[in-house]
Amino acid sequence: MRKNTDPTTNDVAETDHGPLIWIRPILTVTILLTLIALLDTRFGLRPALGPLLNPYNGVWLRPLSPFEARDGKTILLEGVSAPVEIQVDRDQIKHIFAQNDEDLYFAQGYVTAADRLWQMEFLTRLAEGRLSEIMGRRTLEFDKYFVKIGLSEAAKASSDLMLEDPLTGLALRAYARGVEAYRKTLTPDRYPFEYKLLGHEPMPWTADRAALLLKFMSYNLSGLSYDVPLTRSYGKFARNDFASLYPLDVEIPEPIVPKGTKWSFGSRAPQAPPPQLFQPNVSKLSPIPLPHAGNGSNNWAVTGKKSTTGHPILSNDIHLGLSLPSLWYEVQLVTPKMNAYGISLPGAPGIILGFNDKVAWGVTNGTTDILDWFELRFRDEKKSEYLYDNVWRPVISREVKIPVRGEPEQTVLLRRAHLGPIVYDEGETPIFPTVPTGLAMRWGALEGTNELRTFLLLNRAKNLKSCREAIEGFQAPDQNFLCADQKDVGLWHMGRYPVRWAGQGRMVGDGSSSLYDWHGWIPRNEVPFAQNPERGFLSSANQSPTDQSYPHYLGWGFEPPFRGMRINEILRSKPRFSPEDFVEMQFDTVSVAAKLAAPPMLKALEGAAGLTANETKAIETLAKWDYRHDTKSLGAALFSAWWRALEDRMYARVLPDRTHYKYPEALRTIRIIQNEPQAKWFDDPETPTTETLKEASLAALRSAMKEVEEKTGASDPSKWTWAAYRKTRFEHMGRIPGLGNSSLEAPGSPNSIFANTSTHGPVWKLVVALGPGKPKAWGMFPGGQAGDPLSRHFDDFVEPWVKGEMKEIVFLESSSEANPRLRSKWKLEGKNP
Amino acid sequence: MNDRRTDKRSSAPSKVKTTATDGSSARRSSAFDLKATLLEAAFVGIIVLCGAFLPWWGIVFPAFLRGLFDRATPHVARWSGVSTGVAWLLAAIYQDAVAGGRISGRLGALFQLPVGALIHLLLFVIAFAIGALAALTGHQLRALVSSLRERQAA
Repeated sequence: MRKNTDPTTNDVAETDHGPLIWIRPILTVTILLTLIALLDTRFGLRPALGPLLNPYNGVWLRPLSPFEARDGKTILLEGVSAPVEIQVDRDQIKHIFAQNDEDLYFAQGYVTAADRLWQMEFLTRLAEGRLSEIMGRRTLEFDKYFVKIGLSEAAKASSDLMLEDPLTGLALRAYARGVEAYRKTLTPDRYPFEYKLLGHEPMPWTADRAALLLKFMSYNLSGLSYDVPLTRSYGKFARNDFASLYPLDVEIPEPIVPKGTKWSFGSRAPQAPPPQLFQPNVSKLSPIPLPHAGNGSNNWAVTGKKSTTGHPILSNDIHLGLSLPSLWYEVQLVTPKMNAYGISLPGAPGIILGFNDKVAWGVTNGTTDILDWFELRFRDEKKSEYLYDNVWRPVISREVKIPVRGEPEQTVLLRRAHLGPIVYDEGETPIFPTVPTGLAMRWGALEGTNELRTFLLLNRAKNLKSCREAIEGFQAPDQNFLCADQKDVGLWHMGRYPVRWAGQGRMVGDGSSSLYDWHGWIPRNEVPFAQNPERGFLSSANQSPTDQSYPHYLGWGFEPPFRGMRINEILRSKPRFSPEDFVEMQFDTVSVAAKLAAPPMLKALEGAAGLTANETKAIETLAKWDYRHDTKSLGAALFSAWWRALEDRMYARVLPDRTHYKYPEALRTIRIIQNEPQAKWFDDPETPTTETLKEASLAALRSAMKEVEEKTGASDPSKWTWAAYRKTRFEHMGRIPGLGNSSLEAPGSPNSIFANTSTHGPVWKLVVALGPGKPKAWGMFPGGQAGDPLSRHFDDFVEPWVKGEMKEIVFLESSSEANPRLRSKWKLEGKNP
Repeated sequence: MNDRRTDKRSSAPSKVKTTATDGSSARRSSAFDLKATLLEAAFVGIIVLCGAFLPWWGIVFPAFLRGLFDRATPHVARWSGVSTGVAWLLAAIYQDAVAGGRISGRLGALFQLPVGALIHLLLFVIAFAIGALAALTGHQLRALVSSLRERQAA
């Protein structure tokens, strides 16, 4: 036997004839092949390390958008009929100049795919219920949910409408061809990052997929409702207490349409049935969480008489989930007949929000309740028939297959009543927890609709009249459309609203009686609307669109009025506003809720005995606080925790948690604090004494201080800053760890104009000053133009967003216009097949 | 790079035929050997070419061939591993530098590493292991063939 046993030296005992001379290479090659196999294998969603880390064609070879190259060039593509010029600015915003609509949308599809292909596929798969095909079991419940509610069926009906329409059909087809032209240039080594990470190929893009995106936005903005949590709260309170805490006629301090507006029509709603006719079976209602309060928006505009420019100025910021890549994609679209700028939804042609050379428009979520739940009475345990107006109707059932990566297909049973889907059967675990079991859902967005037409017409609007024409066909999700041209401003609360009796749809309804069904639709010329009001401004912030004088019942669960109150408070504060004032306003962090609630809460503490030094310091801090939620604000964290603690003290004895039950509206609670310091809600029945606001406020403050101390990790109240208490999180759209940002220090609060709730916030901010010449505009969205996490344009707008900065928009009038922010010029030209 | 064991074997009985007696070890042990360095650089270049045109595991081919035919380099497996690792590491550092460090930062976060740069270490270790094992396989195969030849000749 050889003496040398070091296998790594060359001095092999070549005369060794023992069995090891055979075993060694076999063993080594076995180890080598095993290692290669392990490194080449995906384990679930975990990527194979070998190909991922290969620096020659793994993620290291950056599959950046070609438009990030320093020098522009001409790209020859099949399907371009006339040359298209694309100016790329330093932020990777593309300014597309085409000679006709078809080439324009083709180019938009091409450049958007170059930056955001994975995101486009991801979101449409989510809406379609096909995410598990690439993500595996972990997204199966999302898929089941979206399949069960019928979102993809509604999208199919919508895409049929859109493709039939000459304007939207042309745009969708051209856009899809542009996407495909880019997709086909990709080889596996140049697939965008997430494709490499998750190990799948880009799917072909077809014209109908944009409808899925738009339906997904409908779900995002109107696909949840308060019905079940409120019904469960109703089951917990005595009737008179419920009526006092949750009044149907809520206080509306600042409706969208100015108070006192006269209506030229009356109500046609039927008489409400007596309440004893139907009582929802509260005990059978599954606990479902409340809709996320972070989705919202602000818009406002001043007329020429209230602006420093003498012409209207418009501002809009929309609040959605903070994600990377950003939901939006900024672009300028120019043809000889149109010049529009704004944000687009990657995957859909045109500009959703923005302005053109004549008109600016912005939206806020309308929040009128267009989703109702109905209790069904089944004939027997088979639940194949249900009662409706004394007739047994069949439940329509069918099976749908959902492909799951690495597993056999899953079968989902869809069940429908005439009202809508029964998403989860009674007794079935609602795995997607926002939906109750055993109830039928009626949701206004589950129909074929063509929202895209509205946006493409807005892109071409010339004045307020054409704005109105563009939006009058808009159905869902309902929006407060604010438009401004060079002299007028107008605002419409636009959507397809059901006619209902007052209070209908607020809680779970009776699915066995047509009395509880929707009673037609509110005519489009009767939706809330205002134009050039005397006060010189219009605004909306998801609050109630009208006061109680409006003849139709629109719903109950509008957003709290505080942002709207703050906007109007500022707009009333001086005679004229400049665009710069609006930029500053968008970063305002004052909470009117705090401004109303903190003084009486503090006043109640006057004369409190037995305070510690820290408690005295905390009270002093709150007394000096200016109600701002800036990162260094000292009162903001304390008040936020104090308010929640006081609310819990008032209601948690009755309502076990604030997630699955609806607490009374904040303004109602504030009024109790202001006007009813002896109210029974402040008393703790477990103590022999009767507590009032005074005792409740102190107990809540002590509890709040403990919470803030724990969250900030500091016992000294001078270190309890808002940023130390709360971090802002941008998650990756596909929830891939490491690709988001979870520790940002950003200002804002849910009730501020800068409505940063830590996971939701302003995802697009725009200010436009209109006038006889070229409009001047400022914009910002958190994220960046690139969808590739390895590009510096993936998140380069996040830091300016945190600081409240907005960039002046490069709005070009021609492709040859010079601007110092332009970086490269590209051309798309036709190529023979 | 000569180690203690090689030196020992140099003075081993003459009936044991070793590559260490051909003078290469002595050449390696000198402070700087231009030829060896150039050969090593050429090997790195071949790894780079394989990276550009073959799947990630294509690096086994040059490493295996080197193990099979390179009789001059002591510790050929170790050297092949180091050179393969260096070829990957340099490419990764270059790409990362072009991207302003974002790639290692993102991947580090993805794999929940405390420091993004550790991804470079992981990458080096993978390339080293594959290169070394491939070269060792070649080297051991050569030893087997030599042994069989000798047995036949005997």
